[in-house]
Amino acid sequence: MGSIVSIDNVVKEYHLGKVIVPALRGVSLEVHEGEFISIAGPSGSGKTTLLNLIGCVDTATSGKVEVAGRDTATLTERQRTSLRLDTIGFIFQSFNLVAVLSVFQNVEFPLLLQGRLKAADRKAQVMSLLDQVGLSSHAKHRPSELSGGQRQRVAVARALVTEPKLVLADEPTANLDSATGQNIIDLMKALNQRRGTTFIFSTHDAKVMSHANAIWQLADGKILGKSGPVAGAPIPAEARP
Amino acid sequence: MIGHWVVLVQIAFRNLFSSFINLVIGVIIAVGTMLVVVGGAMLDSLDTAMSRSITGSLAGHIQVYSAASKDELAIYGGMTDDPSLAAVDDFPKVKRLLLGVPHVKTVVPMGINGALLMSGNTVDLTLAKLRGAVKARDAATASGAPAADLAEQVDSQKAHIRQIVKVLVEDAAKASVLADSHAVDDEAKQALATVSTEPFWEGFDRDPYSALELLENKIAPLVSDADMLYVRYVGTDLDAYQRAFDRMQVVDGQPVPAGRRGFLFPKFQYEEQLKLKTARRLDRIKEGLTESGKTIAGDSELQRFVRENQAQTREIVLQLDGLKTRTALARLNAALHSNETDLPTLLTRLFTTDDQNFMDRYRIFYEQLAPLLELYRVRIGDMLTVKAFTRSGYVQSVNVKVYGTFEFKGLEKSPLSGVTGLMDLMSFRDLYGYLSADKRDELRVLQAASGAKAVARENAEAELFGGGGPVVAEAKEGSIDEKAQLSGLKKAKKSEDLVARIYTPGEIEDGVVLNAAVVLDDPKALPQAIKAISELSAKEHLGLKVESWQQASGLLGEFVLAAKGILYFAVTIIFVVAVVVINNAMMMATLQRTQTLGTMRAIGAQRSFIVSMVLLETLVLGLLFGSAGAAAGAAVMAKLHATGIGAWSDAVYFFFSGPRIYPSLGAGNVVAAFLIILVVSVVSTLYPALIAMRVSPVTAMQAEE
Amino acid sequence: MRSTFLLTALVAGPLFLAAPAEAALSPDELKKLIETIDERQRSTGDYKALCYIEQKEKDKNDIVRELVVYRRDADQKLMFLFTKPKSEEGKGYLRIDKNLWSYDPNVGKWERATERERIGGTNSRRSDFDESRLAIEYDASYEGEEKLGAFTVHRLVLSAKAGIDVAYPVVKLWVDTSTGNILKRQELALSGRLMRTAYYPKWNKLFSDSKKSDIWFPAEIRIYDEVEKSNSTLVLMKSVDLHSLEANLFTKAWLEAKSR
Ligand SMILES: Nc1ncnc2c1ncn2[C@@H]1O[C@H](COP(=O)(O)OP(=O)(O)OP(=O)(O)O)[C@@H](O)[C@H]1O
Ligand SMILES: [Mg+2]
Repeated sequence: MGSIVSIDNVVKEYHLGKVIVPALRGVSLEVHEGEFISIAGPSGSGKTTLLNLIGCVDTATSGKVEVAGRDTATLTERQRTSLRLDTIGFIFQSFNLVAVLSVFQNVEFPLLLQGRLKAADRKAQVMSLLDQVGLSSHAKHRPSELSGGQRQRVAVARALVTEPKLVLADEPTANLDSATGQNIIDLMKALNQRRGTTFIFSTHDAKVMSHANAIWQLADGKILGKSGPVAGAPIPAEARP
Repeated sequence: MIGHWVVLVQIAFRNLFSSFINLVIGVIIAVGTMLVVVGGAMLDSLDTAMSRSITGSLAGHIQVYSAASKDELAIYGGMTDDPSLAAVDDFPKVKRLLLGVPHVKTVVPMGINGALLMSGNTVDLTLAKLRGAVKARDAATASGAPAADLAEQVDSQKAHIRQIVKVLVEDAAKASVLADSHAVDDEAKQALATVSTEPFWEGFDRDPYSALELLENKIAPLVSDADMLYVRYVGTDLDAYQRAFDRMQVVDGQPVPAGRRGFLFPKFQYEEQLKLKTARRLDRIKEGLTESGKTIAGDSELQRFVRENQAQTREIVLQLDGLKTRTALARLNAALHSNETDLPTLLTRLFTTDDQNFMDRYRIFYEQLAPLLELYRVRIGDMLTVKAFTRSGYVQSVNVKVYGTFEFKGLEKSPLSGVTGLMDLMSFRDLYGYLSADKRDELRVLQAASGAKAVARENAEAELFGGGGPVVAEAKEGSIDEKAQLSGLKKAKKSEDLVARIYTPGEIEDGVVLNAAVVLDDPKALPQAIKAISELSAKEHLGLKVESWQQASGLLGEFVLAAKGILYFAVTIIFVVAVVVINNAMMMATLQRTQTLGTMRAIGAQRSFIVSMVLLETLVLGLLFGSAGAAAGAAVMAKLHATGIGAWSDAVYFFFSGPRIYPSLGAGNVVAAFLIILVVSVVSTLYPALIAMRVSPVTAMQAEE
Repeated sequence: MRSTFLLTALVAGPLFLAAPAEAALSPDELKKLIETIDERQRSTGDYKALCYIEQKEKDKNDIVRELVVYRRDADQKLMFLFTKPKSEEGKGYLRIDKNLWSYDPNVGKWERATERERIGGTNSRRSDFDESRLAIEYDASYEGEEKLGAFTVHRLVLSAKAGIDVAYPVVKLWVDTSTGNILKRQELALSGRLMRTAYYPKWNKLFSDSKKSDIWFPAEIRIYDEVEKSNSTLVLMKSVDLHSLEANLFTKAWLEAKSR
C-alpha cells in the first residue's frame, strides 16, 4: 500500500507577540492508505496542530508535509483548498454543521462545491451515505433537531461524501458521551474497512484509541513512538451497511 | 458550476430568515427604498413643476445677453439692485440667427428695470383730477366744443374736495393734531376757514387756477398719506411674450393690445401694495380665518388688522364726496341697524369684528361700501406715470396705460416673482434712456461752452483759496431770454398719442434690448441648444453670454437650486446612515458566523465562494426587501397622485407651483431606487465580505467556545 | 420738530462752550454778520439767473444741465425752468409757500418734492439757487477764527430753528473776515453726519435799481458729496437779469405753457 501522508521533520511555531510557542518540534511520520490511525497525547501536545498541517489548513514552519503525494508547502492557497475538497474529509470535535442547511444539504455541500455531479447523482450519493450512517430518515431535518451523536454522524457522512482518500478527525468523540463516541468510532472503523478510506483521528480517550491500527504518541510537540495495531472493538450493528 | 450558484442562493435565502440581524437590515432596506422611491418621485415632480413655472413665466429655457455686461443677469432679481447689463448689439440679427438653431422655437426680447412710483396724498390726487377736469373744460369751451359733461366732472370733483375740507375742518375742530407733524398753525387754520366758506366755492369758477393753487399749497399739505412704490418691470415684446410664455395669465383687465404701449401689474403686488389698506386687511383676515384656520381671538396678527381697520378710517372718509358720504351712512346704518350720523364712528363700528361677525361685516364692506370706493390706488385703465433714473443719469418719466394685472401660474404667491410687472419695450426704452451718440455730443458741447474746470476735492481749498486773490467781482447785467434758450423743438409728446400709437414688430425689435429669452420646443435639448448658441455667437461675433434658465433666474433660480440641494443632501444622509447601519449589521452577522465560514473553507470552499456568498446574501436581501419597499413606495405615490398634497404654507405653495401638487411616479424613479439600494447594500457589505473571506479554515478546527 | 431743536441744542451747546475766547465775535456782531450775508443776496425786485450745473459721478456719464432760475424774494417765490439739454427742456420746479413742486412735461404731471430734493438729479438743492434766509431759518453760534487757504475766516455753526423745514439741520460756515463772504459751507444731517462740502470761490455783485444797492450772488459753487465721496457738483451762475418778470410767472400754468 502507498503512503498517503508523509511528514518529515516538521516544525511548527506559533508567534504570540514576541513569544514563540513551539507546537511541533521535528515530527516525522508516515501514514499508508487504508490505515486507521490514532494520534494520542496529552492536552497541548500538538495533536490539532499536526492534523491542521496534514489537513492543509495550515502550513509548517519548516519540514516537509506531503499529502497524497503533493508537497503542501509548494501549493497555493487555492490549490490547497482544492486538495482539501477533493482528497480530504474533515470531522470536527464540535461537528460544525451549517445550521441553516438541512442534513441532506450539509452532506451535499462538498459535492456542490466540487460541481461535478448532476443533481440526481448527488442525491443518490448523499442518500447512500446517510443510509450508511443510519440517518436517511432525517435527511430533511435541521442539525439543531438532532442529537450530538446524530450530528457527528452527519459530519461523518459529509466527510465521506466526496469519497476522499483521507479523513481527518480531531477528537471526534470529545463532545459525546462514551457510548455515542464508541458508536462513531465504530462507524468510522466500518467505513475504513468497507471503503479503504484512510482515517487519522486524535483523542485522549484510551478506549477510543484502542480501535486504531496504530497509535502515534505525541508529547510536547514530539513523537514519542508508534505502538502497533490494537484489537478493534466490534462494529456496532446500526453502522453496518 | 450551476450547483455552486444554487447552493449560494439557497444558503443566502436560508440565511435571510435565520438571523434577526438580517431582518433588521431588510427593514432598513425596505424603508430606505420606499423613501427613495417616494422622495425621488416627489423631487422630480417638484422639479418639473418649478421648472415649468420658471421657464414658462419669464426665463424661457435659455437667456442670452451681452457678454460685455458688468453684472450677471438675474431675471427674478438678485440680492441687491437689478444688475447692470450692456445692450445686445443688433437684436433683429441675433433673433434671426438664433431662430436657425435646432430646437429654438422663439426668441423674446427683454429688458429689466425698476422705478419708483410716487403718488401724492389723497388731496393732491383729487386736486390733480380737478385741475385736469378744469383744463379739459376750459379747452373745450375755448374751442367751442360741448363742455357740459366736463363741467359736470368739475363739479363732482369740487364736491369731493369740499367734503375733504369738511373732514379736515372737523379734525381741526376736534383739536386733534393734523396728520402733518406740524401742529395746526394759524396759517393753516386760516386757509381752512377760507376754503370752507360758500363764497370761495361760488367764486371758484371765476378764477379756478388761483383757487386750485390755494388748495394745493395750503390745504393738501395738511394730509400726509402720500405713498411711494417700487415697481420692477420687464420690458418686452408683449405679443411675442404672451404667445411664448404659457404660465402667464391675465387676472384682471385685458392683455396689452398688439403693438401698443402698456403695463400689466403683477397681481401679487397689486393686491399687497396698491389695494386700499383697509380692504387688504379685511382680505388678510378672511384668508387667515378660512385658509389658515386661524381665529381673531387666537391670533395677534389678525387682532392687529382689526385694530388698524378700526383706527384708520380716514383713507375711506377722504375718498368720499358729500353725496357718497351720505349714501355710505345710509347703507351702513341699514346693514348695522344703527342710527349714526358720523361716518368715522360708523366705520369703526363696522370694522369692530370678532370671529362671529367677521364674515358678515366682510360681506357688508364689499357689498355696501366698496362700490362707493376706489379699491385700488391705480385702476385698470388708468395712466401710470413711471419715473426712472435712466442710464444716462437723467430722470425720465413716461405715462403708460395699465391694461390689467397678471400672475404666473404656480408663482402666484411668490414675493420674488410677484413684484415684476410687464411693460412694452418702447416705454421700457424711454425709461432705460440709453445715452445716444447725439446726446453725448450735445452734452459735450454744453460742457465746453460752460468753461467749467474740474477741481479735485483733495486740493480744492488750496486751488480755490490758496492764491488769496479777490473773490468778489462786479457783474454786468445780462438779459436772459428763456425762449432763446429753449430749442423750441421740444414739444410735449402728447401721451394720448403715444397710447394710441401702434408699433410695428420691426420698430419694437429694432432698439435697445438687454436680454432675450430663448424658448425651445423640447426642454431636454437645453444643453445642446446652449452649446449651439454659444458656438453661433462666437462664429458670428454676436458677443452673447448664454445661460440656462437656472443660472439666469437670479435669486429664484438659486432658491430652487438650494432647495434641491437640501433635498438631495437629505437623501444622501439617509444613504450614508443606511450604509453605516447595514455595514455594522453585516459585520455582526459575519463575526457570528466565523465558525461556519471556517468550516466551509476547511471543507473546500474557495475564498471567492465565501465573498460571493456574503455579497449574494445582501443582494438577495436588497432585492427582496427592496421590492417590498418599492412596492410600498409605489402604493404611497399612487395614493398621493390620486389625492394630491395641498400646500400648507406660501413657501410650500411655491415649491408645489400651485395650491396642490399631484406627484407622479416614473419608471425611472423605481429603477433608480433599485439601483441605488443595490449599490448601497453591496457597498455596505464589501468590508464584511472581506472579513469573511479572511476567516481561516483553522477556525473550524478550534473547539467552539 | 421738537426733536430737531433738542438735537440742535445738543450739537451746538458743547460747541458753543468750547468756543475760543480770542477774537470772538460778540452775539451782536455775529447776528449782524449773518444778516449782512442775507441782505447782500436779497433782491427787492424780480431776479432771473441763467445757471449751469454739472454733476460728476464715478463710472458714470456727467450730467450737464442749464436752467433759468426765477426769483421774487418779496413773495418768497422761486421757479426753475430747465432749458438744456433738449431732453430736459420744459422740466422745472416751482416753489409756492412751503411747497416745492416738480414738473415733467413728458407726462404733464406735478409732483410734490421736499426740501431735500436733488435738483434735476444732481447734488444741488433748492437753497443753492434761492435767496439766502440764514437769519430766519437758523440760530448761529461762533466757533472761532481760522485760516482757509490764504484767507482768514470766521467759523460759524448754524442750527435750524424749530418748526422750519430746511434741507440740512446743521450748517457750518467759513466767512471771510475782511469781506464777509461765505467761502466754504458744510452741511450736516440730523445725526451729525457730514453730507456736503461746498466752496464759493467767486462772488459777483450787480447794482439793482429797485434795491438801490448791490445784489450779491455766488458765480460759482463747487459741491463735494461727503456720502458718495467720488461725486461732485459744479454750479455756475452765468448771468443775472434784474428786469421785472411777468406777473403770473410763478404759477403752474406758466411753466406748463413753456412746453406746449
Ligand atoms: N493558534 C495558536 N497560537 C498560539 N499557540 C497555539 C495555537 N494553537 C496551538 N497553540 C499551542 O501549540 C501547542 C499545541 O497545541 P495543540 O492545539 O496542537 O494541542 P492539542 O494536543 O491539540 O491539545 P488538546 O488536546 O488540548 O486539543 C499548545 O501549546 C498550544 O498552546
Ligand atoms: Mg486539540
